[in-house]
Amino acid sequence: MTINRLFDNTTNLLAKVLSLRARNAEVISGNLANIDTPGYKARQVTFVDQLQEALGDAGQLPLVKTHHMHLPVSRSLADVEPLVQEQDSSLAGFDQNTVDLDHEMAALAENNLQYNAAVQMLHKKLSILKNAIVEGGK
Amino acid sequence: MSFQNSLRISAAGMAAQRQRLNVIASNLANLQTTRTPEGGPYKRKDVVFQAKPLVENQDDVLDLSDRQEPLSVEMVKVITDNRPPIMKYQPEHPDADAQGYVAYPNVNAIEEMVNMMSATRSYEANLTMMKTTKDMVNKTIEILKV
Repeated sequence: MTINRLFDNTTNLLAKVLSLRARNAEVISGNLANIDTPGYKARQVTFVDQLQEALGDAGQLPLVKTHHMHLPVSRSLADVEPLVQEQDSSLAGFDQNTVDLDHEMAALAENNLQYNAAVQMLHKKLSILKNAIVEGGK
Repeated sequence: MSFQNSLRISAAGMAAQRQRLNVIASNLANLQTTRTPEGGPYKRKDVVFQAKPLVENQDDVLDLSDRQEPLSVEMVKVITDNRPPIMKYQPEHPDADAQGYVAYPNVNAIEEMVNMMSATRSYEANLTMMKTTKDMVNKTIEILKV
């Protein structure tokens, strides 16, 4: 048995979520720092759709490899990269800055909650694992 | 390391807003100043902010084509507002001109107050971001305490 079996797909997913959320926090801090910079366009990170696709959870049938020569089509968890895009907004003021403070604060709060939730889950996951190891020795 | 970058960006944002507040304070303090080293009344100052990549070694700092990297901010210069001074009829004033008018600074107190509130709010936004990042780091460290 390899040590990797200790950490199942959920653990990997949670680790990925943490790194994506951390990236999102970085982009939000960039937006907030540039809230008064003329011409700055707010940036937004998207990864939820990609993550769902990687989990085969997007509501569509996954492409199946029926031949060994087929190119790999399904995205794996490790391939999920956060996509940073500039946000279009009609709210751009006379200085052409599109950072919306309320929007950024809401995104920040949401990101923080989701991050904490993932950390909690990872924490629980690891304590279950530890429990199994410790109790098994008794 | 993304949390360090987050903290650095927030710190840069706070520093920029603090510099802006300094300039606003100078404008408000010199609301009635009719004499300056360069002569004439005080002229209103304003700041220019510029988005800046965190990585310094890029050839052209203004090339923001790499849109995947979050941008920090910096104050590049302080500009002087060249709007005409406010003229007040005060013939007894030592700085009055031949017609009895004194040139007062082109500073509008209300405008400065609005700018001050805007700078405070932006500073607070950056501060909240910094607190949140610290919170996230602390939560991450807690994973170790299984």
